[in-house]
Order: sequence, then C-alpha cells, then structure tokens
Amino acid sequence: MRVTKRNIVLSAGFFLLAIPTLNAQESLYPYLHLMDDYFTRSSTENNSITELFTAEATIRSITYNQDGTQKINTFSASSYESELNALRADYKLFQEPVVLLSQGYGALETFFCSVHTGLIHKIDGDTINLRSAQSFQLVNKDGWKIHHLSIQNENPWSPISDNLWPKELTASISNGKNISESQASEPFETYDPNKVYNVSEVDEAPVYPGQKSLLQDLMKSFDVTLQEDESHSPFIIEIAEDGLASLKYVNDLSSSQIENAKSFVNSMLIWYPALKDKASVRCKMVMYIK
Amino acid sequence: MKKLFHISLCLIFSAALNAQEASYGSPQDAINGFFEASSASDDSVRQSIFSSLFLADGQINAIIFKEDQSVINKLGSWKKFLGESTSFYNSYDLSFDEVERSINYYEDIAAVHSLAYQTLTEKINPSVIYEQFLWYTFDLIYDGNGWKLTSVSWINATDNQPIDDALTQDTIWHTLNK
Repeated sequence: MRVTKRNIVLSAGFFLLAIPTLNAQESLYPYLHLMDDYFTRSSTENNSITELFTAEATIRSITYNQDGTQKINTFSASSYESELNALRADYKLFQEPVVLLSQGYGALETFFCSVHTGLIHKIDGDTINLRSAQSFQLVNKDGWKIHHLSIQNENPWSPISDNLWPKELTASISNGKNISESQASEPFETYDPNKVYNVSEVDEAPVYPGQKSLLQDLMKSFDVTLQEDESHSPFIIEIAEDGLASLKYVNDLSSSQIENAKSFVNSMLIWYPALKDKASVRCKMVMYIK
Repeated sequence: MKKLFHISLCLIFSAALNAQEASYGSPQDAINGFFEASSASDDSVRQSIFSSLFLADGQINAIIFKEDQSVINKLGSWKKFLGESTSFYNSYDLSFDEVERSINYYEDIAAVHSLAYQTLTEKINPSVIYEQFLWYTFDLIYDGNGWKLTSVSWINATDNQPIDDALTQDTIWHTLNK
C-alpha cells in the first residue's frame, strides 16, 4: 500500500521502493488495515465482513430501474453480507480499490475511492467487470470500524474521472497483473478520452434521439445531407461525450452557409454519444450543406 | 388582533410547509441547509429542516475527541439526535462559521468535508461563550428529487493536533496487502 500526502500521486516506478515501508505506513495509518481487511474479506468466500462495521452502520447502494428511475437500497452490515453471499452463489466475487482519496482527523476518517469489482461466473467463467465510486466513513470505536458506506456503480455515459481511474493503474489491471487473464478479458479504458474519433473508429456511432424522421426533418429544413454532391459543401460537427453537438470544420463554407450550419447545430437535441470500449467518446461526423 | 393571529398562523404553517417540501439542488445547498438548521434554536425549525434534508434513516454522529486522545462516540439517527439535543439547545445558542469546504462526488453520491468554527453562547448568561473548531464529513445521495444527507459525522479539534490537517487530502494508489 502506498501513501502520499497532499494530492501527490507517486509514479508507478516508486512502487518497489514503497514496499519495504509498508509495515511502517500501516502502523501510521491503522485505518488502512481496516480497508485492506474489508476488500480482502469481501473478495473471499466464507469470510465475514460484519465485524468490520459498527453496530449502527448503514450501507447504501444506488440502482436504476429499467425506466431510469433511481432506487436507493439501504442495508445493515449483515444484510449487505447476505447480498454479497447471494451473488457468490453464481459468481466468484473480487473487489479491489484503485485510488483512495483520504481525509481524516483523530477518530474520524473518510475514503472516497474507485473500486474494481470482478464477477466470474462459476460455471462458464464469464467475467463481468464493474467500476464504482464508493464513499466510506470510518470511526474509531474500540478499534477502527466502517460506519457508513455509499456505493455508486459507474454510469457508462459518464465514466469515472481519470484521477480516480488512472491509466497507470488500470493498464496493470488490464494486463492481468492484478487480476487473472479471464478477468482481464474485458480491458478497461483503451479509448483515448482526448481523441475525436471518426464514426468508423467507434463501436457505436452517435445516435440522434427520437424517431429517425426527427433528424431527417431537421436536416431537410436546413438543406443538409449526409451524402456528398456538387451542390452541397462539407462541414464537420462533433458530438461530445455528453451528447452536445458543436460545429467544427467550416472552412469550405460561405458566411451564409456557416450561419445556416450554426443554426442547424443549435437546433439539435442532445445526442446519444458514440461508444468505444463501453465508454462515451467524442466523435466527428461529416455533413453537407447547400 | 385576531386577524394578526391568523396571519401569523398562516405564515408559520407556510414556512413549515416550504421547509418540508424543500429539495436541495446541489450538495452545497444541502450543507448550507444543515448549518442553517444546526444554528436554529427552535426545535420545530430544526425538525422541519432536518426532515427535508435527511433520508428517513439518515445518521448524525458526534465524535468527542479529548485532549488525552480518548474518544466518546455518539452514533445514531438524526431523529435520535434531535431528541437528545433538545436540552443542549435549551441552554445554548449555536452559530457556525465555515472556514473551508471540499467535495468529492460521482454521479449521485457525494462526500463533502467542512471545517467550521462553532460558537456556543449560554442563554442564561450571554457573556459566557465557548468556541471550538469542528470537522464535518457529510455523505449525500441524489434521490431523484434533490440531494439528501445520508450520514453526517463531526469531530472536535483538540489542542494537541492541528485540525487543518483534516482537509488535507491524501491520495493512495492501492494494491491489496495479500
């Protein structure tokens, strides 16, 4: 376990140097033992986690119904353990924190962390990799205990930020250094979040919301087409990760065409953004205006 | 006089209704609401604001950190806190000045940290004033209508340990100790 102060993240190369200081750090930061215990036990069958929580502890997870409405699930430590055990009937469960943001004073400590969860089907070996953000409140009550835990699984339309899911660490996960080859079969974040992809490069192209005719009618009203022809000039729009469209390349357009293209883009609804490696990415589309 | 009484009743009812129906559009609004409620000397105002601020089974946890490093934990629901703090509020007026606030969040969960300066003034003898720093940590969830507090914990500063450190965030890249 490596600990750094004041938002400094150590480089991966420092990792080996940090190992000999492991024990010293853990005695300095005893609540880290608890976090270690929690993730190790929750990843191990027949290992109870309830004693790691206070008697009054509450665990809350957020799930979403098919219609997108939100449901807050509240558990005691024992009922949460029962949930994990129910999952274990079909899956091997593996949980590992990636980055932990820690703040604390005296007998109160908090962790806001990113967590990688692997669910490996016991029969067919299929692996489901999940990412989540989790917020822990720990209190020192006859030893450090978890008193409150909130869990939010990653929304694929809104990936967990790079500071909580750094490439240096996630690369080692996908290379199988931290998890088995079967778990690594679904590598995370091989996409480049800064790149603007062509439609041909993404797994799923951006989709305009509503009926297909909605976009067609809009294009028709501004005399825009997707097919090149002599009477139309090309321009490029970009659909950002959040689905907002913006006008990009307009060098081939006249000033009146630019104004029309601007109005066209401003009239658009929010798109479903392009997907690559299960993450929403920036994507550019070529269109033609008269 | 009777008319004035009725107008007052309506205003009180309306204020209570607004507080109960209030939803907090951002975690920051919810934290402001918490400090507003915590400063209110009227039990019914605190009750009203807390009921709109917290999930029904939300927690309030006070951790009393003594100079000798020993600790008294008072963990429980916000409803229990309201019941048990009435006599304290009968004896003191409370005010809070926030010094610093920080937030970590993802989608529908947020963790907010706040360093606040608390002033307690004795009601029967206002010249008696107690002051201390408290560090608060708030867990919040967006429930579809607004942000709700799910757990609030605070701890007092001691002379032996600077509380400014509470807001210093450490970043830990973790590998399990296996």
